[in-house]
Amino acid sequence: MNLSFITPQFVLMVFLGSVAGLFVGSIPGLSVSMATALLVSITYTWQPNDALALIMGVYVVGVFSGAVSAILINIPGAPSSVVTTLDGYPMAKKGEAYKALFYATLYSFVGSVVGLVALWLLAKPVSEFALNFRAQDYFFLSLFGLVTVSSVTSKNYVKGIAAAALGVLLSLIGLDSGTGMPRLTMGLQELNNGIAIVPALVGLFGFAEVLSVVFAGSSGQTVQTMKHQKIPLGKALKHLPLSLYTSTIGTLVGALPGAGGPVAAFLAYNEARRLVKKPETPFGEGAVEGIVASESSNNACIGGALIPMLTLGVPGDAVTAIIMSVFVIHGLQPGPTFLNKNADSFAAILVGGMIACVAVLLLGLLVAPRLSKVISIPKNILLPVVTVLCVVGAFACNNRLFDVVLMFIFGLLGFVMRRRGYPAAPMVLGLVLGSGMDSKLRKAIQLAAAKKAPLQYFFSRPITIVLATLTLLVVLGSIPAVKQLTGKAKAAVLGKLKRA
Amino acid sequence: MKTLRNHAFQEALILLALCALLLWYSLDGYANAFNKSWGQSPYLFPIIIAGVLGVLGLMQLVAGLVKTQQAKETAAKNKGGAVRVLVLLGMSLLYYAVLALIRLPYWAVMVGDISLRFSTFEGATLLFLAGLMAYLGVRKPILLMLVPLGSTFFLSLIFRSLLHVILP
Repeated sequence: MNLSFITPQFVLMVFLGSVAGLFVGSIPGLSVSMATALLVSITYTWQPNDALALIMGVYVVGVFSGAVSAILINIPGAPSSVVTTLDGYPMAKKGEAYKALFYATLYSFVGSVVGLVALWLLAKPVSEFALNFRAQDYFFLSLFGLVTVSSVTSKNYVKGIAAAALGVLLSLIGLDSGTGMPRLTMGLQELNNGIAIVPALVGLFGFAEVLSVVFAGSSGQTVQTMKHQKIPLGKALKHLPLSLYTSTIGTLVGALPGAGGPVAAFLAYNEARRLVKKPETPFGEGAVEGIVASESSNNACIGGALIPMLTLGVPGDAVTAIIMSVFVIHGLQPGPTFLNKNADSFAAILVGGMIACVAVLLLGLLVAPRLSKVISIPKNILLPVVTVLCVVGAFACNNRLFDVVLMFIFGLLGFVMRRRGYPAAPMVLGLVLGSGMDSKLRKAIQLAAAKKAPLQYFFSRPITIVLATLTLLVVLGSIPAVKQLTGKAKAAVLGKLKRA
Repeated sequence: MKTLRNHAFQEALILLALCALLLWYSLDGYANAFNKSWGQSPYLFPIIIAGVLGVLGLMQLVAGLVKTQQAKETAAKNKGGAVRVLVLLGMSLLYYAVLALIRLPYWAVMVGDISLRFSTFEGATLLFLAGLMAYLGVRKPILLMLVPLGSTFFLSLIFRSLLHVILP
């Protein structure tokens, strides 16, 4: 590998991108994809390697920074940080924001490194595996992600699945990709392009939080001041095995086009809940393991998402889709021959990513704790500013005032859902995955219909059967009666074993 | 009335109503469509979702009926909270209306190479922040002046001047 491109300018570009990434990631409403899109126009005339350095800095640190706002003000900077709010925000409310940020930084670093190492080592084999996925496999993978999230985020699985179903329903609004016909748009032209994720996300998590705090009447209260805690490295590294495991999940999910960070984070969180039987603090109330799983997996997705983009020309998520446009602008063509023809650019991505990982550590440990002072601002000052940020964030994604209206509607919906115990996270995931699930299912049905034995074709492959079975098991496992039965059976078996 | 006050029962009604509406929309759309293949129909997935919502609605209905027999609703009523939420929503909608309907001419100030531009957004945001802070209980005049001014300036500088993001 020729590393002559590593110059002080290259390193500086990565750090500049990293600072920008910290900024856009931690401010609600500003997304990494938006920042990357803006950078495409700036880096148009640059050397390809400098452009890649800047963009890798924004990408890696931007994904991590989503956790900063998720922990401090319960507004995820990106969809993949939704899971971090589950335990990060409760920790911040208890005055453990520093600890939450420390763990988020450390394990974002681990996740990013694992993802990039996987990109280096496994680029070709993993892409070939993902290439084997058929439409029905993608459908079941998304369905598995949805039911998992629904069972994880709500005590009442009916409410979790209802939220996910509503999210999927909302994702169907707009022009149908197959026929071009408007669907569920109620005659509104503004809905022809569907509901944008950003206004929904900002409304469900940002504006709904503002309404909830105002409703509770605690707007004049301040959050407990942040305690600067010394965390021994040995204790902090205790979660390394969990982090490596969830990073592997993140890398694999990231490599599947369309799945991305949110699915990875939710799957990893569910695995953490399954593996860690006795966390110091229960999951959902400030468990460090929850942050470790979420942050490791969503950062590992970076390397994973780059695998199909570089080797197949199929972007793994929105940001890699934009990064791909940088490649095309600079005359580089991602695809099966990319690694051989553009070894320098591949090395620049890997090295730039690794330098950005170091930037995650530096910025996360030195700068992010300063940002945590945000939570000590009285809420009656913070809430109006957050409301304006919600308005700006919702508007900025498409420059449409209609998106601000959508944000208000989603905010109100999120507020009512919170009051009634409906989780918002499955709705967001449904919104992200829904239209893809629709098109994949229809494609699978059309292909199956052309065969002599459609059902046999549909479930003819082990991948499909495994994914469908897993989905069914998660659904069955969430039903209280089944839970009781399996609990009793488990206790009976354990009792017999003890007696034996 | 007691049954209607039950949250689970209300939610069941909403889910079932959504299911019925979606079924009607999908079947009507399918009946009027030229292509009758379900595999290619954009109404297939809405019907599946309608089915899921229907099943969930029925489950909530059963849960609601059991609940009314077992215990009274425990959800705390918070009339003051509801009023505060309505006021906040009203102020936000007013802020939105000002941004949507009023167009003030731009005026710009050059600081070095950076052009600071001010228009409707800055004026409306300044008033909205000060008004909402005052409603939420901030009484110190210095805070009521400095926070809206500082926040508006910061947002305008970062978004409009540095990131070239179009503001409402």
